[in-house]
Amino acid sequence: MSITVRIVDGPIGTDALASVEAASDGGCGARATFEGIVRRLEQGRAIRAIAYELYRPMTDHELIRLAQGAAVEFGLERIAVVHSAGRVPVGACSFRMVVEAPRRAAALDAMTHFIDRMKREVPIWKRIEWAE
Amino acid sequence: MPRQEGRPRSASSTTTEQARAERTLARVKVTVLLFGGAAEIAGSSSVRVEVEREPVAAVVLAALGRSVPALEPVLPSARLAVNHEFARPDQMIREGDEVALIALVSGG
Repeated sequence: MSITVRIVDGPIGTDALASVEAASDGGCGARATFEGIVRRLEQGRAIRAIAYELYRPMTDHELIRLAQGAAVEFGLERIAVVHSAGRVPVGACSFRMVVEAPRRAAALDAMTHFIDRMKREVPIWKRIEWAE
Repeated sequence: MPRQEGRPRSASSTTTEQARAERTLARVKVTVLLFGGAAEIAGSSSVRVEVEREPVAAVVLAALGRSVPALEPVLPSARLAVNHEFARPDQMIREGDEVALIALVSGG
């Protein structure tokens, strides 16, 4: 089982978890990747960016705890998450996650389960920068 | 009930003052860190609340509501973290602990 948690300042590049993906040995039949993108509209109003406030090191500890729990519960071989801290403009990536499991259902279910719990339990706050 | 008959009046008064002083000494100030919307509501990134010595987390949370009434709506779904870990309501908070209010709003 491999667990990776990273925090990066600002937007997340497409290669943020490249080393994790390259490390796959083909033992799993499913790899699910998810990217959270800052959307243009929030509650019907245009925004310019979102600033993410983290309470570190608690944020890191809680992400690791959730990842460990998901890996055990869903039988994952690999789980890697990266989250932004600070300002991320509209259209940019603020969260990326990769999971690998022997089969598809476990990988997809684990991803939804992890993100739902992250939003409830991990100390990350969003401050919206409105366009107007 | 012990009899206090015959005790000089001044001694009784001193005892009352001592008890009051002990109660005062038994109270401490706990700094609670605030983030996100809670910090915006309070207009500060931390609040100091006065509570009994060695309080449990639930007591500090209640004191926070009394100190900043505008925070009360978010407190039922909020939790305290002590030294970067979620605290149980009955967990004792000791001097030097880092205490933070974790009030999250799902979304995004």
